[in-house]
Amino acid sequence: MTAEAVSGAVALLEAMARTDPKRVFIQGEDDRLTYGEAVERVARLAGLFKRLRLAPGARVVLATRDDLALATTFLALLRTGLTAVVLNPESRATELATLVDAADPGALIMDRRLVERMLPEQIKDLPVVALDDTDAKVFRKLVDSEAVPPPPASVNPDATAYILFTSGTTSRPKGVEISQRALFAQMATFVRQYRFDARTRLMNLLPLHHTDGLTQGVVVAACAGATLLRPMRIRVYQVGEIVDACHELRATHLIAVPSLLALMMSLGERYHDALRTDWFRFVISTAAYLDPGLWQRFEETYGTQVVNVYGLTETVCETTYCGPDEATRRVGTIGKPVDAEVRVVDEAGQRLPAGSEGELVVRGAHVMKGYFRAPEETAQVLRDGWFHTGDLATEDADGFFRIVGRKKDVIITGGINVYPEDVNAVLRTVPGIVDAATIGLPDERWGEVVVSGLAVRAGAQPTEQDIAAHFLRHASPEKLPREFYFFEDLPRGPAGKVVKAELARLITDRRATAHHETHSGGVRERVLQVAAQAFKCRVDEISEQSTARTVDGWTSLAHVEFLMTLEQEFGFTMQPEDILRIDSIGDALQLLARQAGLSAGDAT
Amino acid sequence: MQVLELSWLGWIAASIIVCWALPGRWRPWGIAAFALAFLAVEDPPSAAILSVMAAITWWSGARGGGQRPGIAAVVVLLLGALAAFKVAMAGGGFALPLGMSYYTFRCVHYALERFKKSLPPHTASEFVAYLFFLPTIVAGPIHRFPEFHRDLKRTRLGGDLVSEGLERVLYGYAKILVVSGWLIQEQLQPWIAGLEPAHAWLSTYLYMLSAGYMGYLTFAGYSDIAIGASRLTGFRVIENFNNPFASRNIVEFWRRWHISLTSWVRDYLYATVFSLTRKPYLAALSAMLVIGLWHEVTARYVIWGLAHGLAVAGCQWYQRRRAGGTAPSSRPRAMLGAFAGWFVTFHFVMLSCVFVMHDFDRAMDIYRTLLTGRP
Repeated sequence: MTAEAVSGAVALLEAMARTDPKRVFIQGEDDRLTYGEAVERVARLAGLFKRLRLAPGARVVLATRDDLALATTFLALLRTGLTAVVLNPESRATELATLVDAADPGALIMDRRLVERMLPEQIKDLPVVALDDTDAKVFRKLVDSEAVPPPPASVNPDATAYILFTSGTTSRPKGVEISQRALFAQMATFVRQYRFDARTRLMNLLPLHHTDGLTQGVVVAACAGATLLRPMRIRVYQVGEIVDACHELRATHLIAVPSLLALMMSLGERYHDALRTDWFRFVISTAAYLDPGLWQRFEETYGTQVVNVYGLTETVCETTYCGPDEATRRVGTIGKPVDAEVRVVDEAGQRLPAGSEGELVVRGAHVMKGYFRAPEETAQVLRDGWFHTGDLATEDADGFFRIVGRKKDVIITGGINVYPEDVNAVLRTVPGIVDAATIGLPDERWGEVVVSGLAVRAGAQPTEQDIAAHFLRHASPEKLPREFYFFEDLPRGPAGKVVKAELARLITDRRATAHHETHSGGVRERVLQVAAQAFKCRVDEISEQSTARTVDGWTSLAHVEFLMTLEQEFGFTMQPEDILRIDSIGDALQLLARQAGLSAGDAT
Repeated sequence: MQVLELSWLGWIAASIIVCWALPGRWRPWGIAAFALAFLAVEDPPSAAILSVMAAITWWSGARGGGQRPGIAAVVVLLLGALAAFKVAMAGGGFALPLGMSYYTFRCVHYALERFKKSLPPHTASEFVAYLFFLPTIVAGPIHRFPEFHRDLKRTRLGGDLVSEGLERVLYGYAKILVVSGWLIQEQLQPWIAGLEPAHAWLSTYLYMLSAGYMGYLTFAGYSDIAIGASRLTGFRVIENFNNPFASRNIVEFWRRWHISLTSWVRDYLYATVFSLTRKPYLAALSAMLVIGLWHEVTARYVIWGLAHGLAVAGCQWYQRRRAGGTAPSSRPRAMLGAFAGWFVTFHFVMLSCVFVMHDFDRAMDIYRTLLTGRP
């Protein structure tokens, strides 16, 4: 039986309080949070907010790697009518300063290492609650010491529930403002459409500073009285463990980006029965275009249904659903809208007939209030009650929608939106770089990859390592381009604007002749090439999971050649301990990531 | 060998039934209890020795985890115990505890992987079940903990599992009893012996091949039974053979023969020697020497190991030298090259088997006949 829809934050906490207090709400990496603990902590956090003199409507910046702390605090902010501004816990100093400044918050609740990245003048006299992402006890102690004030009797449904920034590194950030009403409208749709209930065990490892992790994870699980499973972080070389965890923890649903599904397809036969269980129901593919070939292969291989959904941060999360019911399911499409109106319109905003290509527009209770303190940007996308998505689509005679392209300037790589202008703004600050233009190129696994063309000052010779290191000091790793291409000048039109189509052609030509320059993001491709050469196999036959047991040509000598060629190729010497730790291609990638001073996730 | 005795089949059958009947959290203990009980009944000192080694291995992970000298001491202790028993056995002083050769290598694998922090989170019961796993305890393979742990967590009883398991067990017994025991030993070898003295060379040559095949089929049969019994218990353990006599060079042969041992040696010995010395040929030589000594601490296995080590190093040297060269210009040439590679590899393996399957004088007699044609 599907859980009853909750109408708002007050009803949500009441429903959570009625749930068996021992039931696990969130299963984290090393810790777990029961409903009983969550309800108590939410109540105590209200005491903290009161002590910090946060009045309804005030914004609180929330940024931590501690999932349980983030989830509890987010729910507490919802319940008290405050606004959560959830930031990437991997944000670099520049990003952090820009986004905190833009959020104009009443308090900061963030990991200590993030607080230390900020300058005193950026923090000013803001109350700061510092958490320790390596020690969950810090948060627990902090909360347990708070008194429990009487909660507000009601929460204004039009109050802003949260703000998520979709862009902004050094320039004008764009914060999506979602009301409590929109959030709970979306939750009601999720619970009904996915048929979530108290037996649901939702595996969702997507980051909590993205709506797919936050609303389609924490909030929906709370609304359904379900269990959210987050036993590990997503790492490319640990895809097998994610699949195993689905089985071991008896996940009923897996929420994934298409890239994760593509990686799961590279796993061996042993993994293919992991979702063929009595309890598993379906996979939800979100955040990026799902290739129909991958979709069908995945369903055949894993013997389970993939529900493809479409939406944006501006519409809380999803708007159209292709499944799980037959009425909305047609492979290759994004299905049909649920609790929303969707149209394909022309430039003038007029609805187009079936089969015509135009911009997809959305209307419904789940659409954002607007961009935070950005009336002009809001007016550009919210017109006559319709939200203009910037995605190009068609609608067929049966009412199924299909995404065919993009009007807006955004790159979607592995389900993460990267705005080229954010990347360019950082690259232009690299000494020796005169100008930068960033584009997305199609990629089988990631959907798109971020590549940048760089105009270099005469005589300057910035290395890729220098650029990457500089970049990572100012922007989060997910924005780091995979490849850099150096030019004397970028291809420009008569008005001096970079012609992206021409840049894409030039870069594609350089890639084709294999004379391209790459750095950390391209490391994966280079390592795979080295491995393929050493193990006498094709690049598409190997992946991060490949080991001597899965690759025929991985002999002991080939292993040695693989390692020695990596040393030559990347210009370093492995320590004996490093050599002993490399059992798979993923291990080699991890080692290279460490060498480059990046986290493994950055390089992969 | 216990595997061929009816009592072993009884133990295995009972263990499979009880394992499936137990609730999930008791299953690891059930698996371990059956193997320990089997050892206690069959060979009590083995049960005691292996229990001590299990305790040391677990302790090394729990207390010494992360400490390099601690883990080095434990590895030396485990391998030293195995070496001591092997030396004593060679001298006729002791019998090797049942399954110790396999068991020790599993302990070392576990200890090193735990030191490397590459093992999944697990309980003591899961560790004990891994070491005391009846289907593989007597004759291998040297399966690995992560795969075992994964299956422990997720395998469910089903028709496929039962039919796969039974099929492999039957194949195993057929290889040992029908093909190796009845066909080769009882039918073929008397006929081969009858060719002498008129056809001494042919008789000796065919005898060498039949003995080689018997050795292979018997060992592969044991592995099939272990793999099948594991499958019936819900575990997919590593395959140990992959048509080794089809290999076209000696490096390939060692990837197809006793795979669980060679992959262990590659991961923990070859890689260690290479990482310390940067000398791949020395690493190959050391690896093959250890494989020889793993079988038996005797001069003939030292020589056998060195011969294979030199052959592997030579093959690697040739492969590296040829790496930049061009492929054969025509298909017949390529086929001829492949045939020559297979021919040399096959006969090298068979000839080296003669040295370790017979006493020194008998082996020399066989070589002499093969060289001169005289009986």
